[in-house]
Amino acid sequence: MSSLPLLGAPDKKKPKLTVYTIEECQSCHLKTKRGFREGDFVHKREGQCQSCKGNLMITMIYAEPIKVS
Amino acid sequence: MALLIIYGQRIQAWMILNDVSRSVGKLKLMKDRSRKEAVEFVTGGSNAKVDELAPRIDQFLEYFTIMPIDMDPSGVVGKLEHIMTTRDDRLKAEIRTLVPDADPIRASVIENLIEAASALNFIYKIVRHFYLIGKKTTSMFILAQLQMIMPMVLLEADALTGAIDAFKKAQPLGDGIGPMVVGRLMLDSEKKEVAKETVYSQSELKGRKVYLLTAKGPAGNVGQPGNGIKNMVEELDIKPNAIIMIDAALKLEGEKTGEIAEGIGAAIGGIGVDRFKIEEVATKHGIPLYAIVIKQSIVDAISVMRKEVAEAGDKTREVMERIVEEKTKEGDKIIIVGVGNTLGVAQ
Ligand SMILES: [Zn+2]
Repeated sequence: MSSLPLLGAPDKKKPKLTVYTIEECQSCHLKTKRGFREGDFVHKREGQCQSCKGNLMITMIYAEPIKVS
Repeated sequence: MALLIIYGQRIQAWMILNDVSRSVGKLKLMKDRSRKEAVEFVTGGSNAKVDELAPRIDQFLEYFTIMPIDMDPSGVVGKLEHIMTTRDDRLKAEIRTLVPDADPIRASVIENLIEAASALNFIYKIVRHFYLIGKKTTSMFILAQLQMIMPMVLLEADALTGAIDAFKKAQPLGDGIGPMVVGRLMLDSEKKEVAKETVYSQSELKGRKVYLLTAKGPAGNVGQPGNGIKNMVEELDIKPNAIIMIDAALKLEGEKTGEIAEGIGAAIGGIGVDRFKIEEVATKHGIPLYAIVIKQSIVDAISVMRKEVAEAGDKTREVMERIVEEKTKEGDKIIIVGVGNTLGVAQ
């Protein structure tokens, strides 16, 4: 009987997530990871690569739990 | 001891009632928050507009859809599609009157927000209904049943709440993995609209002619892949040797997020209209249907894409290319479909 109330609402704390944007150079495939900015979307082309002047494109936007260090 | 024997059941009923009432309270909070977020997003935070627009939004949240009668099931899919399209068109038209100057992305975000808020509203009302009936009739069994399904209900509600954050910032959802993989192949070719909010383009892959199809991003659309495939095969006379569908799928508890699985059949969720159409076209023309799914939980599928899912993209593409090589020959035509919501994913 005493176990019943335990079955109720799961209120485990969810890990906090941060969203990152991954930009990849289309020529040298250098990847850079930065925080998500509003207006970002996957396959958006933006700016030039710092090392080879190739075109940058956003290849991934994803959420990752914040690492506790 | 005697006290427990006499009052045991009452104590238990009281505990169940307590537990359920806490969950109902939680659902109410979620529902209220989602409404608030939708109102805030639509009005852009300006108080002057809240008085004018909030009642309209509340009206949307109460919107209902009457499903077609299925006593005589012949043709029911057509009716269902008709009703869902009407509903969709109506919501879109209403949003245009609410915010006439919204760009397509913003309009699609509003649409998604309202959908999520109205789903939460609906869940809350149903749960509250049974909770109140249980209380009124002091039926422990109604309450116990409610308590039993509550973890699942809360999980679904949690997923919808998580979706709201992603919607507001127009971030890609876990469900967007299909469009992400297929969209990458479409980047340098001309996109043509082939069904409502659905685009296709033509490209070359391993010596095969591939026709790539997804909803139109980066706005939050799911498009009409069913009509898209049907039009490509029947109107545009593309007779494919295979159809490959890439979609997110719900994982079972214990399975890993981002796991890729292959199979046969039309990999597409939703109410069933698209799946029906795709199966029908494929059957009629004898086209084999191959499916690749990327597994994730319901929460992950409608919140911001998880790292594990995003990183499964490259491997999904490898799997797709392997299927192309194994199941078709050079010179064949293949339709490759990226199924899912294109929010934050362009092509
Ligand atoms: Zn570079």
